[in-house]
Amino acid sequence: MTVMHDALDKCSSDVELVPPKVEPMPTTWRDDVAQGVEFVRFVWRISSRIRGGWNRFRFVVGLIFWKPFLPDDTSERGNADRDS
Amino acid sequence: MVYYDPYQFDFVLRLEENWQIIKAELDQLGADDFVPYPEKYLLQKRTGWEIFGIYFLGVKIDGNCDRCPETAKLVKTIPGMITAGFSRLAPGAHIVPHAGKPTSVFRCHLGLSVPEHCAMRVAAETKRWSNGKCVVFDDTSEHEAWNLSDRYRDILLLDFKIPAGFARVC
Repeated sequence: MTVMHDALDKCSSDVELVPPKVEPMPTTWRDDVAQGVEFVRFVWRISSRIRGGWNRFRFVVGLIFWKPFLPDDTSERGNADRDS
Repeated sequence: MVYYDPYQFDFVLRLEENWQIIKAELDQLGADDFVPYPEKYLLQKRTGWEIFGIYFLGVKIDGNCDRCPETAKLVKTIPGMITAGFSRLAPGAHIVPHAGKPTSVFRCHLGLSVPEHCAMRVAAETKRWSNGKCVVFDDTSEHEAWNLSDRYRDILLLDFKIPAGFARVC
């Protein structure tokens, strides 16, 4: 299809939708600890909704390396096929 | 180019045609079904971004797929889909400028519940989401998103592998 349909309304000129100002966010050691705790809670909560140890393992390793583990490049549907 | 014509990708029409089915499944979820996104440093107030994962980096989130079976079926048919889920941005939340990791994927957003006063900037272009419409962009470009309304902003977020032969425009 050659017609470019924009799903989003361009609003560069809309002053109301100028990105909010980014305030400096100094990080303390408490923030670093809190961040680590959040990751653990995230992994725990998502893992608890995954059936099977192998898939839980893949989820954790994928999260660490931020890529599917193991990737199945031969499948057009990618790793989504590997769950069943 | 940072935004791509979504209709180059066959799955987009299928998603848009079924967006109300997806929205109905989203609507039956409770607040506790969503999980706070852990990378708090991406948030101006360190809070306000939650997700409901359906697939994450190729792994099926079984319990969540059970809650949203039609959505799970739809996203599973997307070629190269590796991540899919609902992304919720709370009133006042601002995901500060950041760039995704280069994982050879494009990102697709399908608007599901989009109030006024929320938008996304990718590189130099700022746009608003629309309910039932997809946008595809390269998330390795710097981007940010914000919700200045008094309602939640919900979208279906997808990462899919860049199709073979499709040139990423740098």
